[in-house]
Order: sequence, then C-alpha cells, then structure tokens
Amino acid sequence: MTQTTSPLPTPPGTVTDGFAGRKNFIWMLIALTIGALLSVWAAVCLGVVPIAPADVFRILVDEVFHMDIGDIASRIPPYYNDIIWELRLPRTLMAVIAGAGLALSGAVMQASVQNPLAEPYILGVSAGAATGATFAILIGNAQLASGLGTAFWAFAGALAAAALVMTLSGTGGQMSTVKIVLAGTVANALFLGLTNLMIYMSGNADGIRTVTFWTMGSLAAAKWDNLALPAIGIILGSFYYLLQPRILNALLLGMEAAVTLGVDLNKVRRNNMVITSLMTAMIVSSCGVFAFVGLIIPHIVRGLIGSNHRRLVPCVILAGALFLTWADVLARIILKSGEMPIGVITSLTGAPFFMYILLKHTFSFGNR
Amino acid sequence: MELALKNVDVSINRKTIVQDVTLSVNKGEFAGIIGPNGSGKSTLLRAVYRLFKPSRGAIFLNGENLNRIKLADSARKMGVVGQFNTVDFDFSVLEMVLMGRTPHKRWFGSDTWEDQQIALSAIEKVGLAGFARRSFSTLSGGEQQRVILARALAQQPQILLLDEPTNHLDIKYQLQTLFIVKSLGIGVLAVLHDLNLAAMHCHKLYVLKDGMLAASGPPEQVLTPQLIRDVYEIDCDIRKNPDTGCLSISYFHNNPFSAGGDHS
Repeated sequence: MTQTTSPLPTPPGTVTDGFAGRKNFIWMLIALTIGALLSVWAAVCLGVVPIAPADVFRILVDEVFHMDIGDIASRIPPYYNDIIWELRLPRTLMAVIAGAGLALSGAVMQASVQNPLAEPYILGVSAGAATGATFAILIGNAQLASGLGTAFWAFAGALAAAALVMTLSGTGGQMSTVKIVLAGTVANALFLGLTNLMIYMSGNADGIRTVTFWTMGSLAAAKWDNLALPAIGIILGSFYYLLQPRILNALLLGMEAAVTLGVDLNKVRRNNMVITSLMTAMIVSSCGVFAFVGLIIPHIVRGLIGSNHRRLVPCVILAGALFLTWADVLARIILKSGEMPIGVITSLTGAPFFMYILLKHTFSFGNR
Repeated sequence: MELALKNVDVSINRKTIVQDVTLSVNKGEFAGIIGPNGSGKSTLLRAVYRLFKPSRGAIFLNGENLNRIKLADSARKMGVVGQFNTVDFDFSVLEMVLMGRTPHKRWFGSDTWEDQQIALSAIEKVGLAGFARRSFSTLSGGEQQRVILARALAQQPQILLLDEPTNHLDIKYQLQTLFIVKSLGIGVLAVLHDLNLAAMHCHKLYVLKDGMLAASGPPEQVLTPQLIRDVYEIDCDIRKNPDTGCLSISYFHNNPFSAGGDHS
C-alpha cells in the first residue's frame, strides 16, 4: 500500500531501496544458502548405495583431515570412501558449479538483451560450445582433447554462436522475443548440424559414444581434476557479476536510458556475451548441454524478489546450484537399471516452462 | 555549464535528418526546440545525449568536444528525460530514481544514505512523495514520466535535456514539470510540442523545419503568424495576454488540408 506521508526519515546507515521484496530477499538468501548446503549433503548420501549422513560426515573428515573418528575401518566398508570422495562429492560439486553458472549466465544475458527468454541454450551458445568441444575431441589430437584444450575450443564455438545470434538479431536496442527465438533456432540448427557432421565423418566409435554421452548432458565424468577449471571460472564470474548490479540494472532499462546513465550498452553487452560464453563453454566442455536452467531459475527468482540485480544475482546463483544438484540426484536414482542423462530432466522441466512463458504473452521481467 | 552545437549534421542510415544546426544553451537558460513532426527535433536531441554521433560539426560541453569526453563523465553533467520508456520490468519507484546515481558511482559502489536522500527529495520534488515503494510498472503514464524526471534530477545534472517532457501529463503536471525544471537554475534544452508552453517558459526558441533551423531567438521575436504559417502550415493569431503576461497563440478554425494547399 502507498504511504501518504513523506518517507524521508530513515536513520543513517540503513539503506533501503523501498522495495517490498526486500524482506523476502533476506529470507530467501538465508533459505537458499542453508538449502544449498543441505542439498549437497543429501546428494552425497543418496544414490544406488545410500550412505548414512553420519557416515558421510566421518568419511569426509577422514579424507580432508586424515582424522579417524568413530573407527571408520571397522564400521564402514572401505569402498564407501571411494564412492563418497571420488564419485559423489566431485559430481555434486560439479552440479553446484554448472547450475550456478548456467543460471547466472541466463540472468546476465537476459539483462544484456532486455528479454527474459535469453539464455545459453535458447540462444544456441551451448550448441556452439558443444560443436567446439566435439571438434576438440574427435578431430583434434590428444593435446587438444585435454581439459583445457576442450574448454578452449568450446569457448571458440560458444563465441561464434553468440556472435551469430547478435548479428542475426541486429545490434542496438531491445531484442524482441521473435528475433531471439528465431536467431537461437538458426544457431542451434547450424551448430547441431556441424556437431553431427563431425561425428559421422570421424567414424571413431569410441569418440562417438563419448560425444553422444555429453551432448545429452551428464555429470558422471566429474572428477576432482576436471572440476578445477569450471570451478575457478564460475566463481570468478559470480564475483564479477555480484559486484555490478548497477550496470545490469541500467542495461535492463534499454539502450536510451543506459546511455543517458553513462553506460555504453553495446560495449557492456559485448563484454557480457563474451563472459557468459566463457562460463557456458567451461560447463559444456566438462558436463555437456543442460537446457533451460538459465531460463527457469532467473524467471522464478524474479517472480519472488523482483528485477533488481542487487538481489537477483546472489539468489539466482544459489537457486541454480540447488536446482541442478537435485536434478542430478534424480538422474542417479530414478532408474533402477542405471543412470538417466541429467539433460533429459532439465529439458523435461524446462520445456513446459518455456511454453508457459510464451503462452502467457507477458515477456516481462517479474510481473507480480 | 554551457552546451554548444556548431554546424551539426545528424545522419541515420546515410540519410541526413538534421542539417547544419548551430545552437547554444547557457547556465540558467531554458532553450526550446520546436517544429512539426518529422522535422528532426528528437534526432537532434539524441545526438546531444550521445545516442547518435554527429556526421558533421561538433557538440561542445563547456568548450570540450563531446566525442572526447567519456560517456560516464558526460552522464554526470547531462540529465535526460527521453521520449520512450519501456516498462516491462519490475522496479520500485525508489529503485528507478536511485539509478540516476549510476554515473556518480563506481561500478561496484552501493547506494549510500546520501544517495537515498537525493533520490527521495527528487521524488518529492516531482510530487510523488509516498510513491517510493510503489512498483514502477503499475504507475500511469504520467506518473512514470515524472519518475523518469526524478531520475534525471537525482543525476544532479548541470544541464537537462527533455524530449517532449509533458506529452503524457495533464495540464497541472505539464506546468509543474516545466516549473520544477526551471527552478533548478541549470541549462535546459527541451523539445516541446505545445507552442503556448514553449512561449511561456523558454528564454529562446529554435525552430526546426525539414532538419534545418528556420528561426531562432526569444519567443516574442520568433513566434509570428508568418513563421508559424511557413513552418506548420496553419494560420494563427498571436497576442500578449494582458492578465498572464504571456504570449497566447490561437489557431484559426480552417481546414488544415486546404490551408496547406494554399501555401504550398
């Protein structure tokens, strides 16, 4: 409700921006942080072989500090250590990183083109990264296919896709929904075609299996040593965007307003496309394409706390991590016979969401 | 703070929209740009607020060529109330107005108590006290326009550029807006539609026709029935209202189509 009196007196030191979502924000931040930590814990416990939370704790203490509490050797089978430390923990951390990175990339792309449908998958940036990674694995030599080499080529592919989309949809002002969807469709078709072309030309059965595995998205290959690169990248990216909500907000106002506030929209947009392409490429090259994470998460979070990036960015990062952690748990336990690619789960949750946003005809940033 | 345009041409897609415009706005001066639709008023203003670069000539801010000033630096000196304001996002009024502080902040700086006071007093100045917590997208067009004015005020500019700042407002707020702007004592360059308002508020007028200056000077000299017939192709009567002391322009009730034919 509106106040009728002047809202001036606020004690020095407390700065509110007069938004009703602020209270929601603090609770949401607390809930998301606790939720993310507990989810990582739960994700490590759950699986084909369920392991008790207390035992997980003992194993982690043993691995990290080499401190044996509660006599691990006699109570817990030794292979539990391997399951927790070599398989589930790196895998869950990869889910956290990929989820955070994709959701953040989505939010940043949306502000940069002033359209809430922009995200790495819909714009075809993920497909471009997949093409680059496929090239590194199938065509490139062993050196190219190393973690860094694959990431490099994935980045090149992602940048090419981003450049294509930006050219197709025209530079300057706001990007219309029609343009985004069409340009993204073109980029997706082109890069998927290139990927398939390489797969069929290579005739390398082993390589083909690897490639199909991660074009559907999977965290199964996550290990401590391939976790490092995306972890560093996404953490740096997160800090970068946590520090500039002001610029992201100005972008949301569009070309004219951004320029009058001293923000060079074209330059900032270009930078953002490069940085989000880089984050997407690191994720795609280590765990494949996850569709729609960058669409679903920012949309839900915006609905709860509004469009201000000061609040949006931290919540989107945490919510993305939470979402992919549970998607991965589901991927691991839903089938008796084995594992479902996590991309199947994100697509099946994301596609109805995409339809819902399109049908609502309000392509807006949070409409409460 | 002084704004000066010297022989400025503005072209969009190689089509020259504005040609050879020279004008200046000094501190405390209210300059108006008038002219019919499509005469290049908004394009000229956009070149001043750096959406377009002049294809010829130069724009000077305090004697310094605008092309050599960083965008963030000129944004600290120039506030803009533009014509188009998209509304498909969800910010509170206070959040919108606080964005006016952007050019004064480092990119990572957060809003201080002082910024908030500046924003709140700007909101109060435009008559929206109590609206700070309202969602911008739920406001009427006129209220939104006043929020944008408040944002420009929070920018604490030394020169203010207005593109038809009154076009969504009812008469009370039209007068109020121009009064607020005038009371700041800074230079103002405004594109105005309403000739009566322009005559009442402007110290000098620049009349654009087909992208070129047709006349310039104080309203009393510029606004003549002859000029208005040349530029707008209508007949009018202009006299000083003895009660308000302002020029009053009344248009003759003739068929604009036949009038246009007569003078072509």
